[in-house]
Amino acid sequence: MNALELKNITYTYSKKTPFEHTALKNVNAVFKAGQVNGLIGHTGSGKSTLVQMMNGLLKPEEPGQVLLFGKNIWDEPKKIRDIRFRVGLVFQYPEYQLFEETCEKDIAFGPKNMGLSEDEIKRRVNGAAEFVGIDQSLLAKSPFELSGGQKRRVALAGVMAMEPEVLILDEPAAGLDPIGREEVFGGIRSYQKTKENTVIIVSHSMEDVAAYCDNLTVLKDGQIMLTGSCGDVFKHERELTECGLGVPKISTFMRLLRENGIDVKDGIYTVDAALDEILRLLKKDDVEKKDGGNKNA
Amino acid sequence: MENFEKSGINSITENLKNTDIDEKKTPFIKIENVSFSYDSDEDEAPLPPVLKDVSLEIKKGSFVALLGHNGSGKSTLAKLINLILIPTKGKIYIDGTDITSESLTEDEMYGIRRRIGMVFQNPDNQLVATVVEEDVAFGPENLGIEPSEIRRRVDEALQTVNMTQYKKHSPHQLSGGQKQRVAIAGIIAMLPECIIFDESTAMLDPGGRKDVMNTIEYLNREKGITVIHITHNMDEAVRADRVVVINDGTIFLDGTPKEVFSKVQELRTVGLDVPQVTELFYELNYRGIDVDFSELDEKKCAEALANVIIQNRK
Repeated sequence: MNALELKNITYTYSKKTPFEHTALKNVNAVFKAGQVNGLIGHTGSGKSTLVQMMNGLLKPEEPGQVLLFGKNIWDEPKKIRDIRFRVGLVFQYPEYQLFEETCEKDIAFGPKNMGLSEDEIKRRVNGAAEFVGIDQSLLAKSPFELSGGQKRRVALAGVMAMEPEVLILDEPAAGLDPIGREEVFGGIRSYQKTKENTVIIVSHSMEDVAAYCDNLTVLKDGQIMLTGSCGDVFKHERELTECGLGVPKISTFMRLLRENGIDVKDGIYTVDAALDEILRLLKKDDVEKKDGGNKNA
Repeated sequence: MENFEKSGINSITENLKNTDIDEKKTPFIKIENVSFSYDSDEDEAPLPPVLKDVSLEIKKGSFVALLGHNGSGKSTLAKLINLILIPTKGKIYIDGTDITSESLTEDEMYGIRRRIGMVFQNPDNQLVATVVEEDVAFGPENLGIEPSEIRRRVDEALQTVNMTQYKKHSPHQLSGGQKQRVAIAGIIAMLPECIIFDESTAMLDPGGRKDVMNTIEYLNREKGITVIHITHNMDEAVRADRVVVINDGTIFLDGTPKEVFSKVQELRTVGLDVPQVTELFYELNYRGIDVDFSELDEKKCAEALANVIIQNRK
């Protein structure tokens, strides 16, 4: 099932002025329900414009349509605010938007505005804090006392607490160190697994989308260039590099192995998969895999 | 290179070459037992130190990658070097001048800040003018330089970062990588001897990253500018000639990229990664497959591993 379906989306900024700029040209795309969907594209490719279409912050030009679970979100323009509760959008650096006295109040801000009961708000706040790994003891603290990675996770929890059917995150791990990235993506994963909701991640890191997304949509100059599984998309190394993106380093390495006459499988994009493949080639697949040497051990 | 023959940047490069012999004796940046704590509110307990007794020497013309998890103290160190912050304890010398001395005049302080430029993370926060070339001219204008000299420096700086064709553009029309290159041009136009890049590639797409990294490498290798590059991207750190890892306010590892990235376990304990190919080779080694994982060049790695696989078939 498709959570979001975009049909014939065109959008032009500053129309009929000398600054007229068409950001999206007849885009057709689907984002699958219950999956982590990745959206990638070079700077200026139209990613931000596209995600703002998804929760009705921007309206597509006629005859474009944005279907949320099959229903056009612009059928009743007066009810567009409801769409924003159903499709949560987290901008880049969401921690800049923290403002409450305590983390708990900040996470509760969204659910409160939805008019939920006190008990329900409490339940949601605790649930969201748990997803992103924010300890109970931190909830009473001011968000400004926390580290950068913790602030980011509190901000994410604030949107998760609204339990949107579709959660869109723009560069959720930008500027974080490797552990911070793992914590943020881990939080998103556990939210998605538990709620079985739909997640859309916008990112510039090919390694991150390879590790965390179920499928990818690639935008180039306001149009869809590629869609498919990570394996399918990362086969197109040359095209992706040409449009200012790339493939995970490990995919490039596997191509280099192939150029050295080794018959490696196509579509490998994580270190774990590469390791399995090389062990297979060395016929050492009986060797114990993923033990103490692995970073998660 | 002939284009740069008469340039100010080139004359600095020449100066560097002429003083090479002296440089071997005095490092360009010398940090001596430096500690730093941020001020706490009056009624609160003092904050723990961000840097603890750090000593570090950086030679002129080197390319140093500075790694460390968020909050490890690497940005604080960068701000101490260009006098945005002053150490709580210890001394910092720039080209032999004690910049922590109480007798440092305001003029000397501005002089140090001109010689050590800084490029920050967010491309949208650093450009002030509405036209690219005016933005690049902002720094030299503030230094009170002759208009004809400013013109020359701006043209040359834009050429160095390969942005000449955009000089009449408005910054908002540029991509993130292009904006960062304009920000770099603005620094170059002040003829610095050292540039600190504080996660300047973190917000860019892969293409923008590549362009900025190539520019950084060019400034270092061809122009002799000392580079300190703060990053979380291990593949970028590999391109430096020295990697310094900071953890909890002290220097944890210091060596060539090869030396540092061979310490996979140690890096993981302080919350850092290694490049993906190094990780793969490390895991293979762990399983008793004998490939040299200290090699960082991907092509050489692929050849070495291909040989191991071919040998294994025989």
